[in-house]
Amino acid sequence: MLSNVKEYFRPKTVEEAFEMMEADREHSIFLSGGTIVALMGSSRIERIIDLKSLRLDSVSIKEDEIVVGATTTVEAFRKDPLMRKEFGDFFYDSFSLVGSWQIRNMATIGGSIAPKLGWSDVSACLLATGAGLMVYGPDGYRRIMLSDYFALPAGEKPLITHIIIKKDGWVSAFEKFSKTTFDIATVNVAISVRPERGRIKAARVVCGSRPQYPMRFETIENALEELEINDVMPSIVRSLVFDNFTGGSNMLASFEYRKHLASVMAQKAAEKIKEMVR
Amino acid sequence: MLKSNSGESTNVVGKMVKRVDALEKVNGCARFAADIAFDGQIYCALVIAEKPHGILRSIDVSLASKMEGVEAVFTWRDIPGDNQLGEAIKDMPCLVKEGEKIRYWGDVVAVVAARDRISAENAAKSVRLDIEDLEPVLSIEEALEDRIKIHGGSNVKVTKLIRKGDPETVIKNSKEVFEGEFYAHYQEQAYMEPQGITVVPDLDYGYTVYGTMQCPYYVQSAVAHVLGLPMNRIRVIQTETGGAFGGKEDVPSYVASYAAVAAFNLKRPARLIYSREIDIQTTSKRHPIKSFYRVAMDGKKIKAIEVMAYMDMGAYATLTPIVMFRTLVHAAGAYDIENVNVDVYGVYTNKVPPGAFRGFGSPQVLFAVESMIDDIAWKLRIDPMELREENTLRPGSRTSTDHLIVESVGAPETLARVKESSHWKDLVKECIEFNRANEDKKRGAGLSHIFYGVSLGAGGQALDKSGAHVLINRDGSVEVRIGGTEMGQGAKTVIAMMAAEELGQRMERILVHQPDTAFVPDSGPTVASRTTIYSGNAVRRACITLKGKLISVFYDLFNSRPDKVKFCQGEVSDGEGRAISFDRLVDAAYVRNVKLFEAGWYDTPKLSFDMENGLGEAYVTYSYASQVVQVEVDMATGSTKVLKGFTAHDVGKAVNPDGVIGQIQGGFAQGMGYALYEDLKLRNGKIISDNFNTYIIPTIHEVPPELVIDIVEDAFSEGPYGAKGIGEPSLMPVPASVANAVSMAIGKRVRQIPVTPEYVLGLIEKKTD
Repeated sequence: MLSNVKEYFRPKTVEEAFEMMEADREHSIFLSGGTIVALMGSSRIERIIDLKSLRLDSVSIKEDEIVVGATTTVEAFRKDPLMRKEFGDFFYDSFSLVGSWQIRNMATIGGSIAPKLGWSDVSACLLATGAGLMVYGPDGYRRIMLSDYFALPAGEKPLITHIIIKKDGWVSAFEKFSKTTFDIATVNVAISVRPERGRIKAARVVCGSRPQYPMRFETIENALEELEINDVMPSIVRSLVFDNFTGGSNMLASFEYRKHLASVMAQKAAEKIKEMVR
Repeated sequence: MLKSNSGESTNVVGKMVKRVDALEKVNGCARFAADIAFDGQIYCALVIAEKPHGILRSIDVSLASKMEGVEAVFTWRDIPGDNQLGEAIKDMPCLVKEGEKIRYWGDVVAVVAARDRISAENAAKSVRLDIEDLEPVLSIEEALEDRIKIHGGSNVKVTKLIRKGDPETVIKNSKEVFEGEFYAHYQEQAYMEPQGITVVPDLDYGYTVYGTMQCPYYVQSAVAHVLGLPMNRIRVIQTETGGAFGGKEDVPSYVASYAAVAAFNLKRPARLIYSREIDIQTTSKRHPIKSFYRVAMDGKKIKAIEVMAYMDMGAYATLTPIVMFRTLVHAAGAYDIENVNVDVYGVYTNKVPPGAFRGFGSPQVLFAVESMIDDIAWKLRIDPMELREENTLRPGSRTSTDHLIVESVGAPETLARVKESSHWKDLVKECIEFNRANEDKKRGAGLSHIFYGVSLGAGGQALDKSGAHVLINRDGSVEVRIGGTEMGQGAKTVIAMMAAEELGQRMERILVHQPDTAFVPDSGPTVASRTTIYSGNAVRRACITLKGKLISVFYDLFNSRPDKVKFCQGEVSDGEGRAISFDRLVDAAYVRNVKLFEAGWYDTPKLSFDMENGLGEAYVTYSYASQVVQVEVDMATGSTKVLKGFTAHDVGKAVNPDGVIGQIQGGFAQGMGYALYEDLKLRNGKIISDNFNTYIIPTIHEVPPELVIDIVEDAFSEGPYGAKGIGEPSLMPVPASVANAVSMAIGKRVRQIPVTPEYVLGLIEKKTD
């Protein structure tokens, strides 16, 4: 519970929202869907800046990119006709595994990325699609890769305004292991490949809830280049993930078990990709 | 009109009715502990030790006392009465003194009182404790070493045993002897509403305690003890209670004591509501139990059983000595065995003190014994169903404590029902065929068969009584007061049904009040699946007396024969055309100055039990259950999904069939949580899975869509309309049936719960069983 909130803001523009944050960063917080803020226990926060008033909740197409407003809910995103048209069942199916229906109707895409949560299924899937972000910071708007956002120093927190996903013909699949239906991922894996004449021309392999935040495994991606997409491919993916997984233990799972799960999830995702490509 | 097995015809009992408390709970009008507020109330927060073991050298409250909003900080010096707490053994300080030991992370050292909750919590964090660290004892094994003594004497504080026949010799001479070692972990009650109490200085120059609880009389006694006041100065009123499952048996006594210290010293209402984290970190759980079994077989007959069980009772005994009695009696299972030795030990550790939880020490050993029976069946190539049918308790059997049971033994019938509903043989065959055809997924069918001693039994006879007060107002409305509490289990509905049944008044004209110690005498705790029998019989007795008076009035009015007068759904008639509404009959009684309030009382006949040898009548009666589940195990991840469940319960009589079904569904889900998901994590004695994002409980999606519930009604002659109890037995077969199903699926014996995916994968990868 935020026990010490004194002010609630509804900024009209992105610039105004960011300035409000900058005015007192220590005591302020952005509110998007509310699922994170509602669970926070802090007496430090005195100011809530509600981003919903910015109406960044549309999905549009610009040339070869899909541009998604950061306050689009997870449920609206997965069901959006444009997303279904351009990405098939990938986001539709993958995000059906995010929390519960109620959570997905509140949680936003931007709000799922911004806190840099290790177990975020949204972040894992977007990383695998090579998504970029439009962010607003002290130097105005700039576009960065999602992976770079995760690498920003802790104090640097630009405001995410849009998520940008290329329509580049890659094929993606996601797998998640959790203990119960609504539980967060013990491990999640998202894989995207660019197929060409029955082979993997390029790949993005993402493991999340390691328990650190999702990251791409370039060694695995490099090893997958030119690999034939056949019945053996999924088991090769599994072995590569098992051999190269990095992560740790926490109360959800030991490192050893997590590594095993990541490899199993990767194999399942690769099986899906194999079926889609064929 | 229904005819119950007990032979009594009923108008309300046994019918589908709406819960009497449903509307207020759905529309938000129900007032729970945190909804109660009083003028001038102060908010309390606890200063806890946050060390597993040590010596409290000093308490510095200087900074906290000066903080804004803080009214006072109270330590043991501010306790006017006795500082020691504990239902069975008073080994727990209310507030730890300087120079004395800290024995677990949640030991309470001080109570901060402030004008608002945040100020209280902030100040609590500012109280400085100087604690000299001592090496903690964090496992049963370490405790048994007795190298570090937590309370001075041995860490093995309490023991109980059964000595029946000569199992040692039988086992020694038997060719077929089986052994097994099992471990059942903690389980958190996970009630929706956390602990919460408000203590209010009242008009009678004493204190009225409002709060979420199961046992108002425990709270009354504890607060009187801590404040050094006679019990007639302490009144306890239960607020609506959002779940308890045993977790609100003794714990509210401690919560109330902390708040009472503040209320006493400030002479103001004092409120203490636990956060979920503090609740999980500091309050009772299901006991972890490690058990060792040896079983001797002669063909299909169990000839002897030996059990050694070690209970981790944490830093303080709390209810362990009472819980242990149930562990003892249930350790050998629902079987007729001639030779039984059981030894149960309770050991101190520097961890949270476990206590009561649905099943009260029995699910842990029932999981073990049912795993043992299953293991034996598969090893001897006997159908597990057949092995249980061969050995189950039946009328004329003797339990492990040598209790001859002659009536209401529905055990063979529950087995027969699940055998039929699950198509047991076909289900096993289906699993085997599935497993032949699949490598990635394996299926298993698991069976369990349990019994449950209803009420407190020989271990708690002094508490096995209940009172009731029934008042008929002039308008015909009825007020019922009982000492048993409603905590979501449906007690109010069952009591209203019984009052409606006996008085012939319509249910909607009957109000069952929140329990209040000022109106009903000590009725024992609301535990042990006893409310239907005890409070029910007390209400029934009061109502029968009142009805007799109303019959006299009817006779006075119509000159009808008393034996012809019938009461039904608000109408009274004699079957010969003379009739009057219940309300008008009551009015006529008032005109005649008839006393229309009565007290009812019920206690059970004394049980004959030899505590030294653990032999005799352990409980007044027993409920029985049999259960089959089918699971599917993902061989790559070790995760388990329950596909189907079939469960049969002998409840004596389903007074409220809807309520019984609800209890069984809830118990099944909670049992699944215990079996598969709920994995309490500790780090150096501190519970770190302290909310529901880390302590995972099942959701509706985990409960199998096919859960077939069969109710067996083998009437208990002492029970109202033949009823026994269902609250706890609903959970008890689940851990064993799930574990047995997983064992069949993977071909390796599950020996611990929860059966987490990581544990199952470890078993799958093991070379041998």
